[in-house]
Amino acid sequence: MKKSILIIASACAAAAFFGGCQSCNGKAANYDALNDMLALNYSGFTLTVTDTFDAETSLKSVYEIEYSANGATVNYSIERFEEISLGTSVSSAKVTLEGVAVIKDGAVVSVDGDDVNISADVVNTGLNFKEEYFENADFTDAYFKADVKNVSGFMGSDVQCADMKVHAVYAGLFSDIKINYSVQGTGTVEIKYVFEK
Amino acid sequence: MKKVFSKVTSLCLAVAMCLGITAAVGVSPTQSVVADAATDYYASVTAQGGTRLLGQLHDLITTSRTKYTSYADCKTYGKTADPGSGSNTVMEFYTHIDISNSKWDVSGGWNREHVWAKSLSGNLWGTTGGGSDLHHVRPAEKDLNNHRASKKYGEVGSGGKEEYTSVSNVLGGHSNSNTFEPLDNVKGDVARIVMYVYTHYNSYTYVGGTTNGSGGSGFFGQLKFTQIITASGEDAAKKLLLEWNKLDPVDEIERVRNEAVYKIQGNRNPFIDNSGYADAIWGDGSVTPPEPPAELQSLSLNTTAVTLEKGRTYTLKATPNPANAPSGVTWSSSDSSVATVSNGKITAKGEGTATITATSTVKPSVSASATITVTPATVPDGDELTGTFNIALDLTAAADIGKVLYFNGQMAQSYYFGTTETEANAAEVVVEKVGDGYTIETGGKYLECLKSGTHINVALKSSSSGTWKFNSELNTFTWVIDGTEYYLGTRTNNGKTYTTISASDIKYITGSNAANVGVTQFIVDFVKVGGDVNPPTPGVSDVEAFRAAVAAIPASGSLEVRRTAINKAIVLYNALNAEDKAAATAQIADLQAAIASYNAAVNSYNSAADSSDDSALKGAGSFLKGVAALIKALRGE
Repeated sequence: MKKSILIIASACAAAAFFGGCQSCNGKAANYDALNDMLALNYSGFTLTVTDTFDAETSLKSVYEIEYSANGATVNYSIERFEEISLGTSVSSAKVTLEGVAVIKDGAVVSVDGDDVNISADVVNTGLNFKEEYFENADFTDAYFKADVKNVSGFMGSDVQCADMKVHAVYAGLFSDIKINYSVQGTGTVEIKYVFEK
Repeated sequence: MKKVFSKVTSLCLAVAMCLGITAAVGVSPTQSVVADAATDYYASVTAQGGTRLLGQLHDLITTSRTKYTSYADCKTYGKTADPGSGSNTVMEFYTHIDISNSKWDVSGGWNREHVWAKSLSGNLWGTTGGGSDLHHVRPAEKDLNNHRASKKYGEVGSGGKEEYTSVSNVLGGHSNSNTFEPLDNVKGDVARIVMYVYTHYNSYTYVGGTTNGSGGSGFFGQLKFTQIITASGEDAAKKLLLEWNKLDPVDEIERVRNEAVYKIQGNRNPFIDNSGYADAIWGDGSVTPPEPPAELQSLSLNTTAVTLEKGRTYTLKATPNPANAPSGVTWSSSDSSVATVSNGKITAKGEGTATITATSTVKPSVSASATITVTPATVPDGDELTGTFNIALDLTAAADIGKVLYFNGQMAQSYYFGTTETEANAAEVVVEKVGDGYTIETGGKYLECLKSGTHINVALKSSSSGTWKFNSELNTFTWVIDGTEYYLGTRTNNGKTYTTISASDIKYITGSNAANVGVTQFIVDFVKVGGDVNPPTPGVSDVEAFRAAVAAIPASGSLEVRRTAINKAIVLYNALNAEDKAAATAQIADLQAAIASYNAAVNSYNSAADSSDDSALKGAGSFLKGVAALIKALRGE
């Protein structure tokens, strides 16, 4: 009940803020509302990362997070390509690394599944909406679109990329946040956070 | 080598060699077989020996070079050019042992060995140019590499110190204070590498005998053999290299590697392709250039008339006159409904008479013909069965124990074999196409002869409406599928002979043809009636199919397309016997290179995806507590 009240209160605040203007031009207060929506209590979210290398070659990683009383369960399913050797062929180009991780009070208490090879040098991170991070922003009461000009500020970490764009959809709470960018010599990447209410 | 010249000639030869000139004296050494793929590569090399040959080879291997690898490339390509026998290993140069790819630059691991050491190059190279040429930079065990250090190569005599690899403790050579002597089976490798480096990297003031030159003499090179060989002088150094070149002839390792490096750098080591070049340049041999072809006068065939039963084949061969005239011909049939012809192989199609003609490709006015007469296939009358019947095979002969039965031939549909005593309980066994033939699998395993004292019954069951028929000529049961009659027979293809089951193995035949017990031979093959008893080699041999599959691998593009093509080649590679593999070394090297390229792309894509996931998870830190711990945990930390 408390959680619902908090969500409703926050949603009302966001709606009240955005309801007064059809198209706002990146004033600081709007960006605070976006950050406030990041901090709302969602029941979970799904993170999908799609790397597209060419018309027929792509890899997808899916992380499904469900929040519980004091933590979260992360179901992950990650595609990676498999090497070939002369002795044996491979029937499929990809393998899927899968597993479940449980987080309680900010610490991982169990991981049951395949190891993956992502970076471990994590610092204080997280998305951050600040006016100076964006340009060509299109701000309405339903969505926010912009070109990202300060990638590390927005993403919370360095990302080697070009032409990063963000498109966030919300109705008091985030529905989804989609981030697209290109990587020179590799292809394009789409990161999509889809939030569960 | 036979020496036929007088003392005067010998003196002149000695004087000539002192001047750095070697006169060809017309004695042809044994030449190594040049890889088929490299035949055109040496088209510009017409000299018979001496400085002219040296200059032509220098021009060739420098101008054909398309890639100058970096020093870092030598580590990457070392895995491709020098693969070990085990997976993810390199082959160490001095000992030929396998070392894991991942054991880089650690004790017991591998690093890069400059066969012609940088410090002995007269500052011609460091880690670029000659210092990163894959023909001369080889994987070497780190500690053995250190033992060799920058010592020259040569003979150390009985007092030399044995040098071993660490960890594996394998002897790699002998040394003294200034000389390293490799093992006998590597001396030729060293010699041919040294000769390559000398030929490629000499900076010269004048070379006589380049491809456009008029030949003659000229001082060649600032790089001396005595910089890398312990010897009393240049002549003695050359002598030792020539001795090592003969002592340790070119082997398969060198040939395969030469192909692999050729694919990367665009140039070849000519002293591997033709070890006779060494003597022709620095010894007293010569290389005989190919004679120009004579003008074709006529063609003749091995026969002018042949009679074949429908379905049978015969191969014609066209011989040019004179014998050294071009022999290329095209084949044609005057009536393809009677007989077709492909590369000289005639297939009798229908009754009648046709003329098969071979026409010269270089002189179309010259041709030769043979008349083919096709007669009906001899298929005796016999009882026919429909549906299924059982044939029991009593495979108790000692020679049959443990053998695997292969069924080969042409089949239009899937056919099943049961392996039980009764048809009702027959387990269906799928006949699968494998390579250019077929095999039978039972539950994923091949049909095998059982141990002595037991026998297996094979139920032949067709999925089509084929009819069984007893063929009295062949004395066996056959069945007719879509108008074509097949029986089980032996198959000889590329030296592979499959099991023959004798008539004594037959226990009984059920069904309405029980009266036909006594079949003299139940032969294990699907053979088209009217064809050869031992059916002809299919249109594509194992090696040809493998070569074609490798050639079809795209160099770049979609990963899935590349994987599919590589997998196909791998399947065909694994089906090759040792003889086939020896005939396809160039394609095997190509396949290895394609696999390395594919895996490099795989690792690149995976790394990119890892980086994307990392960024995305870090972004979630604003709404997921513990994302840092999550990332660590997913790495297994």
